Formats: sequence, structure tokens, C-alpha cells
Amino acid sequence: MANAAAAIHAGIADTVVVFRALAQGQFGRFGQGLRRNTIAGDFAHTIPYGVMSPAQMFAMKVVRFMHDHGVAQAALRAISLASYHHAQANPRAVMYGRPLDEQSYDDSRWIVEPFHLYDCCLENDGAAAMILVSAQRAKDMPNKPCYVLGAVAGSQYRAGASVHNTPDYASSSFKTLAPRLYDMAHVQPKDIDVLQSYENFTGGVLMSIVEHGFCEPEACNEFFVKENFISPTGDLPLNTSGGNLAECYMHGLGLNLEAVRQIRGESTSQVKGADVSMVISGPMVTPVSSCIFGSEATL
Amino acid sequence: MNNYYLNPGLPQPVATPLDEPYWTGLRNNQLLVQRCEQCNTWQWGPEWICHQCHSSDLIFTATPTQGIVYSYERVWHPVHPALLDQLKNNGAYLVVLVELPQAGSIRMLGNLLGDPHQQVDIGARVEGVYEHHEDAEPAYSLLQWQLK
Ligand SMILES: [Zn+2]
Repeated sequence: MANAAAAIHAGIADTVVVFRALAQGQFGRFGQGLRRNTIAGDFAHTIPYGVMSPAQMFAMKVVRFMHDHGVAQAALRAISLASYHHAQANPRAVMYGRPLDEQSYDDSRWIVEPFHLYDCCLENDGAAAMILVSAQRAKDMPNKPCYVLGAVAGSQYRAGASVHNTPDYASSSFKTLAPRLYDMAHVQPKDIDVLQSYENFTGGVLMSIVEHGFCEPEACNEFFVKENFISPTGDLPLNTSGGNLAECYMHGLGLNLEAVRQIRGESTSQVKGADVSMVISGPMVTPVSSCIFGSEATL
Repeated sequence: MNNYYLNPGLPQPVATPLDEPYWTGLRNNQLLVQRCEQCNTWQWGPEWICHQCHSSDLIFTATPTQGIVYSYERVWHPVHPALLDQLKNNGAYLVVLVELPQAGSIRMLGNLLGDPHQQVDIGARVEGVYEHHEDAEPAYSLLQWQLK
């Protein structure tokens, strides 16, 4: 998003299409381990110990974060319940018609602790695209414009250190980036009307929300409750299409589409009068990115 | 049968020019990790230059396999066919991330030996156990961990 906006702002491009298409059925599932006889390089230090899927690569970050700040499993559960709740209003969602309650979450099998089945993103096929043009050109388009107030991409010190040696390990990698995003967009966390936060796993959402300043790490057990995340009544409506957990796993591009729908008033779980709509993209990797959209009223 | 913590069949490690001394060390019951000759910074995983001073003067230095559990995970769902049998019927395995206080608190990743359902405490003291895969071609060794 930052690259697309920068290219248009610099005059390198008039129109940028941002797209993602997934066909995991034919070309390989992200959740599966590598099928080969040997492994060399960084992965030689993890795969022979059974650390080879994304869930297995990220779980220890979340375990450490929850340990450091006394976060209970119910905080992760709240994130999952919010996504499934919103998916029930969204006929396009993979999990439409398949609601999730606390008991079903608690009873579901572990994938890798602290992730139950419902803490993990879907594996599905799909496609999504966004069209970006200058604010001037957008006025001539038939749909209500949605403006990029800020977009950042980057990471923090040695976030790419190999074999789990990143100094700030229990992190979603947004600590240095989030302040730049708010500066660029001229808004504060309290101004955000609705949030889409990439759930590869719920634990990443937990740390992303903390690192974007919505909640102190020590207050997670009070903040991460389902009611807080439900549209339109919650203080921070979250993943209002069902997101990667329950709408469709589109590597987060679906979350960007939903953020735009909220500005246009077209969401199936619409936040009334949403003017500032935020997307936090894939956490715990490097680099990471996040973005804030606004209505015309915010310009 | 064998005494390996995980059933055989996962991709087996092959040394590269960058990490060859480490793998050779494990074969000889020795833990060799990177240290900078210029600024004495310890480094893991292996890199071509020192992350602290950018010197390329890195050597592999022996260090005791005494560590502290920094984080851990208990894996239940098999994502590789080699682990299907091991994980069915409520099976699990444990992975620990271990800090080495005597080597600049670099972190090593391995399995925690013993009952996969045991309670794991962050901060617990562990020591290394060499797991030799003599029947592999070529033979290789892993470094596992057990509670002290
Ligand atoms: Zn150095």
C-alpha cells in the first residue's frame, strides 16, 4: 500500500492495481511442512526439530509475550470469536453459517500451543484486488473515494535475525513503525473507528494491537474481550468481515478491502459513520506494514 | 528402533560453508557457535559478518551446553507425514528456545527430552544432549535439551 501510494504521489504511476490470488489446492498448502530429504541453511537449525509450519514458527513468540505480561488464553479466544461473529453477517465468508462459541473454541484441538484450531487462519483459494489512483482522479470515479491517510512498511532492529535470535523476540515487529504511521496520518489510536488486524494467528493480533497503542501489554486480559471487538457496539470493532480466520485467507488483502467498505458504508457489519479505518498487515514477520484509510471528511 | 526424540523422516540437515564447523562440532559432542574476533560478540544463527561491528573476522568457539528456557511450544498437529504416527492418539512434542548465558545469551532451538506432556517453565535450567543419527547418510547430529 505504501509503495502504491508513493508511486502515484511521485508521478511514477497513474493507477496501481494491488492484487493477491491464491490457489493452494493446486500449488501447495502454506500450512504443510517441507517434503524433501535434506535441508541446508537457516532452516537446517529448525526443521529437524519439528519447527516447519507458520504456526510452529510463531507460537514461541506468543508464548513468551503471554508469559511476560500474564495474558490468558481467553484473550486469544476473544479475537477468534469476533472474527467468527462478523462472518455470520457476511454471506461471502467461508465460515458464514458456521458460528463459533466459547465452548467450541475451548473444546477444539490444539494445533500448537497456544493456538487452538480456531486461532489459525484458513487455508483456501481466492482473489482480491484494489485500485489506487490520485485523490484528484478518484473524484471522477463512480464509487465513494477512500483516502490513504498513511501507509508504512518496515521493521525493527535485527527483526530478521535467524534461528529465533531477534533481540525483541516477543513482538509483532510494529514497535518502531506504528508511531510513524500515526504521525503520517495525523491521527491517534483513539481516532480509529474500526480496525482490521491480520490474523495469521490470533497471537499476532494480540501483539499488533498492543504495539499500535490501543492497549497496554499489562491490560490485555481486560481489553481483549469479545464485546469490545464487535461491530457496531464495541470500542474497537475488529475484523468486521470475518477476516483471515473466518471470511477468507487472502494474505490480508481482504482486510484492506473491508477497511475500504467501512469508509464507504458497505460492510456487512458496518460501523456507523466510520471515518477512520485502519489495517494492520501480517505480524511477526519482517518487514511488516500497516495503513490508515479515511473518508473525505478526514482530509 | 532408535532413540531419536522425533521419528525419522524429516528433512535432514546438511552443512553449508557458513555453518559447517557447527555441524562437525555436534558430531564430536561439542557445541561451536560464532564469536567475533574483533568485538567478542556472540552470534547465532550463523552469519557472514558480525551483526555488532560488521567485521568478517568470525570464528567458531566452543561453549558449554548450559541454558535457560526462553520460550517453548507444544506441537500437536502433524504437518509432515514423518510425524503422523508419533502425534496420533494425543501425541505431542516439545520445542524449546534456549538462551545460553555463557555465550552472550544467544538462543538455540531444540526439543525438550522427556514426557511431551510435562509442564515447561520459562526460566528453567536445561543442559544439552547430543543426538547422533549414525544410520543417516551422511550421519549427522542434533543438539537436544533436558531439564537439569
Ligand atoms: Zn564484532
